[in-house]
Amino acid sequence: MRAQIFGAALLTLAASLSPAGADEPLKAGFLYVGPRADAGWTARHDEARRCLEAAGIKTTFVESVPEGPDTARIEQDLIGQGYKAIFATAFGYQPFTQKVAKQNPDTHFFGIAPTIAPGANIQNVYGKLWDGRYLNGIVAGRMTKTNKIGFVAAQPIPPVIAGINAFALGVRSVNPKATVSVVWTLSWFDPPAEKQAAVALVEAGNDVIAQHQDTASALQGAIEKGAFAIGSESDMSAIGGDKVLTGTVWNWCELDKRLIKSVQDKAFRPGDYYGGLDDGVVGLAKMSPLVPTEVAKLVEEKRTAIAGGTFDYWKAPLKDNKGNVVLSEGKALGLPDIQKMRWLLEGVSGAVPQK
Amino acid sequence: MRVRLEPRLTDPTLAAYALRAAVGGGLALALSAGLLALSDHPPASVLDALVRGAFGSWPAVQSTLSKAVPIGLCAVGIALASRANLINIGAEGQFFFGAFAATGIGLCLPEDTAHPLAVALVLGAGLLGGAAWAALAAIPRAVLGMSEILTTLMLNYICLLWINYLVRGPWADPLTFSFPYSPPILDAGQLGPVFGAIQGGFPVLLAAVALLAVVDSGTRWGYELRVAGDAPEAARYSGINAAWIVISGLCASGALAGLAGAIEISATTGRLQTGLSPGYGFMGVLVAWLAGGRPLPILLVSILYAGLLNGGFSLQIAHIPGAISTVLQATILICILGAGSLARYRIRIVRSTTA
Repeated sequence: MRAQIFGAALLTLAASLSPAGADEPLKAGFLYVGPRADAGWTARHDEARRCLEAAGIKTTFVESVPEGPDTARIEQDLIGQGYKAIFATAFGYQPFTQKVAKQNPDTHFFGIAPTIAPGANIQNVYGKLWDGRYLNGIVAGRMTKTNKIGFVAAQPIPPVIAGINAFALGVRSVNPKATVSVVWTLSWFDPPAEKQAAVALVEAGNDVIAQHQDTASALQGAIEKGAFAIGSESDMSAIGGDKVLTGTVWNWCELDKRLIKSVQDKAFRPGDYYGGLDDGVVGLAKMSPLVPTEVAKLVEEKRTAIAGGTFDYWKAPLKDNKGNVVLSEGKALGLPDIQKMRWLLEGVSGAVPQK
Repeated sequence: MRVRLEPRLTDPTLAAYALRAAVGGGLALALSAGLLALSDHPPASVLDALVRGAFGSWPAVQSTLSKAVPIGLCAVGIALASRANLINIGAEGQFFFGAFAATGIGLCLPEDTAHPLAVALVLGAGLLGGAAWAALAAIPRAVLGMSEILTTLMLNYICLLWINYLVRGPWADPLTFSFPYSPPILDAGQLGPVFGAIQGGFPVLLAAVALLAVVDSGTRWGYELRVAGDAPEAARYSGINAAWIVISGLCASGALAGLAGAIEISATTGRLQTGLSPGYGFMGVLVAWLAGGRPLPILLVSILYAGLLNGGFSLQIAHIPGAISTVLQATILICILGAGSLARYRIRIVRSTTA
């Protein structure tokens, strides 16, 4: 057994001495945090990967990679096999990507923003998902009969919190009497807990359930209990049918193509990139036929206004649900504020698990 | 007629071990090949990808050796405790408590601490932390006779929750947008790689293996551990302090696991986070068993095991679904585990003398 290992080690030494050719076409390697079958976050990134394949870019992927030290090993492995563009599609990969990026200055890395571990060959991307959630909120506010709306949320981190607040603002813009109740699962991928949270919310009288999770389990729970649901990450109407009113959708395809092109054209730009309703990175899922046309029309109007920059729904003054003023008169709420957001809006019942 | 599994009276020779491992390995290959053929993947190229990912290039060997460090250290600790018939299932918790102690020191030390001193203090804290966590099981066992199998197992969960609390609460890094990370430890406390990119802890693993061999063959303590384990009555008669043996044996075992945790902090992540270990402490149990508790086989088996894990990720890069690679890993482990057990036990067919 020992001889075998040493033999293998020697073989390898020989194999490692043949570097890849410089003019090889760019190949893209993807790291996924969940399984491709999650019908959510990872499924959308895999969709974008297949979209790159269709555009003639050779790709591969590794799924269910935890946000830990294995990240670096897998990235090294991909680079060793000639993948010179790495899409590391989870926020927690960043510190490990940074180490690998330093050792491989000729490889380009795309992670999930906001950046905590920068590098000259690292660009992190995300989308202003909250803008889509605001539009979802309009639909929820108009469709609720009990004036009680539930929200199943993963981790209390700023992009999720901002999404809940934007959703609540959307609800309130059409239905000032409605309240939003949040339940945290404290996990991105825990299908039984997600479903249970939705069921509990319906049993407490909420008749529209929105979610921010990587899977469609909350939505399934809500629909089984007879409530409306609002999807997240991907178009979940395929799973829940007409009871799925709408939802937010990630569209990474065009962005990933642009990112690959930026490497090919030597126009790569490190730092953060936030897509949104304007470039389509954040989109809306199909509107259910159960949603009245005038509501759909209102949503479309607001979408155009937000995308065009003529409408800002973060309108001062805003108070959090403990009564503190979080946005005083005359001020605007910018991306840096959203990246730090740790409060829930007035009228949202629930708490951000505190430090 | 009954089939009985009886322990062999004599320890098998290393050659006998190797032969059985080879038979087990062969069986594993045959089963895997069948499985792959059934799922429409060419067995030869898949197994080739597995081996290539584990040992197929110098970077692959480096990352396999790096990954063997925490597995091997936990296994050496578990084997050490098993000398005294103490079964330590708590290496995972001791690993994390060591990581916690190491991070604590690493966050407190002034930035201008000399590099060797800082590394020594961080690793030393890991040793003490692991030992302290093991002591929580060792003392009740020594004083009250409480089963260390249960207590070490239960303490794992407590420690994991403690780490979760720390990185989301008091130790959460304000710069990471609420992702569960502690701030990084001081630069001087970070252990650099050896021989290129092999994790700096590898020499420590070699030293621990050597130490186990020395304890076995040339120390009074090693002798007392074995006597207390094999023949507690004889040990008492000859004046060996049973409580001391239990406490020192389990704490030394925990110290090695804690050291593994500290090394991961110092050499791999540079900070405390959830997901620091994908279950190294539990893998250590398996490796210690497969290696029959012997020092050199522990080193080899931990390297092979690490290779199997890394190779599994490479399979995905070669477009083999993650689930198949997990099934392959399990098949290989079960076969080798079975072969290892048959080296220590024999199957005897007993003709029933009518009851």
